[in-house]
Amino acid sequence: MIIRYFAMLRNVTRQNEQAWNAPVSSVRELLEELCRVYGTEFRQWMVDENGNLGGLSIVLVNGTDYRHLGGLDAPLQADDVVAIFPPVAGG
Amino acid sequence: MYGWTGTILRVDLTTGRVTRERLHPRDAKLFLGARGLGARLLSREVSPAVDALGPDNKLIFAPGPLSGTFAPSMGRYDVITKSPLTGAIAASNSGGTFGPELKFAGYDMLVIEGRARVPVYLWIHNDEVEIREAGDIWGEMVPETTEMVRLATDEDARVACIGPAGEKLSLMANIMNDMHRAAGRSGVGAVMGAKNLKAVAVVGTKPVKVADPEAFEQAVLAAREKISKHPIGGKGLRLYGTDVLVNILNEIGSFPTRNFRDGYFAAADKIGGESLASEHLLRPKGCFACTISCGRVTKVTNPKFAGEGEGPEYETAWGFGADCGIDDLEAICKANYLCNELGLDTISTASTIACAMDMYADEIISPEDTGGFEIRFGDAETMIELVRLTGLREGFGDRLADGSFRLAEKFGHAEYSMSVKKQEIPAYDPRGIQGIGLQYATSNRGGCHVRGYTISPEVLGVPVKMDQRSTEGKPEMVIELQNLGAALDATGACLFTTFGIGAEELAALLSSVTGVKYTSADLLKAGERIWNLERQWNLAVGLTSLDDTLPTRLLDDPIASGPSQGEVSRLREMLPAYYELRGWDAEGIPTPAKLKELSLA
Amino acid sequence: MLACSFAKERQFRPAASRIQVYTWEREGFSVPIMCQQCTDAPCIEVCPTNSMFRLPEQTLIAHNDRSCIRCRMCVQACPFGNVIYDSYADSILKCDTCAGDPACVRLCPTGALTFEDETTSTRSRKKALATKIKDAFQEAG
Repeated sequence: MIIRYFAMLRNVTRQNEQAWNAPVSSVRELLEELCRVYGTEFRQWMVDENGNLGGLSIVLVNGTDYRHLGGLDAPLQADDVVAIFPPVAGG
Repeated sequence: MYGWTGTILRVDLTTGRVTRERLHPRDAKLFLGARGLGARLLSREVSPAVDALGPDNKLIFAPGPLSGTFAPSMGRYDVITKSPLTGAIAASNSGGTFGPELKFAGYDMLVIEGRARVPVYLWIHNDEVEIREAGDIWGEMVPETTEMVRLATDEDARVACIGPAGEKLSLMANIMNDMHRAAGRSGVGAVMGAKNLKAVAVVGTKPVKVADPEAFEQAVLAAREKISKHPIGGKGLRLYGTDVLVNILNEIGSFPTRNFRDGYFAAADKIGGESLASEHLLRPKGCFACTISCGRVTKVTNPKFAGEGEGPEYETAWGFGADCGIDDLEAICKANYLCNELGLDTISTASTIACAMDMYADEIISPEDTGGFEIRFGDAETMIELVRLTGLREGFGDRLADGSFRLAEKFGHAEYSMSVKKQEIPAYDPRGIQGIGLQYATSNRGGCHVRGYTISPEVLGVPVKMDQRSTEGKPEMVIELQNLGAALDATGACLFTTFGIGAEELAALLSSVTGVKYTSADLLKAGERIWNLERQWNLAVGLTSLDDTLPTRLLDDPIASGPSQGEVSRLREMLPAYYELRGWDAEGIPTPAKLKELSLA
Repeated sequence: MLACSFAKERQFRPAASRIQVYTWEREGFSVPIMCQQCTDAPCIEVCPTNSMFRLPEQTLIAHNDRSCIRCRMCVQACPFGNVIYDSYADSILKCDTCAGDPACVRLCPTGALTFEDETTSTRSRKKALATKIKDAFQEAG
């Protein structure tokens, strides 16, 4: 699996892209794992005002927003490309 | 009056007469200000058949009732006129500090009529209005014009002006204010140039009054709080600016590439907001009373593309970047600075150059036509040279200066112009994002994204996430955003306040400042009223439902590669529902009942 | 500037703001300028009616609008131009820090303006410099 980071997440994870080999079966699992690895600095961008995963961050699985693939339970395969954007932009 | 100043200033450049008149409370109440009031005046006083570059067209500068207060990010203004590019009603919106200064000088609208015999500029200092000869600034670029006008008037004057592009009547010419902000689209700069008006300088020291100061202060603090708490309005836009959209659009495969031949640009990251922030950003910048600060103060030191100024914004980076097949961010910045200096709309200019590149690649244009130039996708130096030539109407630039539609039509292939109603469409591929396609097709000013910014729900998930590939619910959503957008524009508010607040908060602000009671429903109704008024004008000009369409490439040719490969725009499925929900007939004409309901009958 | 005029007059008139911000468009840089509450203040020295006076036990200089005769000597005397004569309202404008809760500080969205106790402000600057010296020694060692 490949994970691409954008905007502030690049500063937090110190990379633009990362090969991810540990098995995760859903978007929820992946995000929780990343929050564990990168800590509160990462987590703050990935949660809504109630502290739940999701909020305004955009997570794409092979170019499709996870919210149209089953939400946080959207399944992930080993060869997926996941792109994660914190809440940014408009214009 | 409160919020409004109650005075309209008229300047007839033919006779030199300066007059003032009262703003009618009824007009103010129904049409709010800025885009709305301007459309009202234009449709009453100017015939749709008029020559946009002739003396009978009028050029209106209009801030809103909230402009000049500390309502957050609500100090914008519109330039309203008949567009020489589209024939439709143009209302180009801009930020900076110019709009509020008009309010402090005492005016809700500045209406320019007629045509000066020689180049002139206007100097407005509260009640004193002078028309002065502009012989020694005619021909100057925008930054120099701004400084020279200030030297001759007041060193802190707010200045709106045209560059060489407007003087030479390029249909893509804009009006720049505060040196770096643009009333960009629809060729409004050409109308100003056609009137021989080079600049407007304003100093105002009068107050903008508030009907209920306590309630207003509460409403402002509440609105500011919501915007600050919103991740995009509060942090995201300041950190990365609008250009951060590059990677988002590219990763979903709807980032128009090479004149919309494709929707995916492999080198996108090199031109996105992340790269801009790390390589060229000096500091963020905000407009009048703005806490969001999306503006980018940038600089390029590489001598090849050296320059400084504000920007590039997302559409600009897209236009001179992916749309032209270019991945050099410094070249893009340079093109941006050049456009600001020459007074050219970046979206239309970039898209026109991309169109030329596309026709060149398909051998419709040859070096003979271009005066020896090879115009290839990806060639940054040539792109920059073409920007310069376009702004000065030199060589092949003279052909480019009237936009992609007239360029492509001239060569017998209008279908290469990625435009609607002859105005170039911006940086979101409607094949991958269905709702924005409906917005492009139905926008009253031609190809435009800001008037119905469906990207918010369809891509960013604000206020809720809609599936960009679906047509379901899109007509309703587009209509609501278009109505809200019109109301927002008419109050002087910036579109980006929608990352935080909505019609409810806007109504509270408007009511407490003006003393006129508005609910959110009243505001949306005002927006709908303005939309229908603009539509009526367009129909009278001769635009029909046949013009509510997209280039055939976007209806029939699927996106070539990337995550949205294979998609086309399903506009035809959405348009009938759009008309019906708007209360229009099958030809897209507002019914008498609808007009009566909106007090437009 | 908007917060100031609104706090004082309940309307928006930046020309009457007691704090002024100047912007250089080319560089995109802005600087706020406001009353320095000087010791040995020229405005106090020249005032013929004692309408400019220092509040007891404080550094703050206040202006008494009732006793003021609008002679404008203070406007001439201030080396920074921070006393304004406002012809619209026929009054002298001078920052009074809004009774210790300045509106401009409250409304500034980026924290560019802060209202600090003087000793805290100077101490934090001295400490910032001291920290640099300490770090330089550590790097050398």
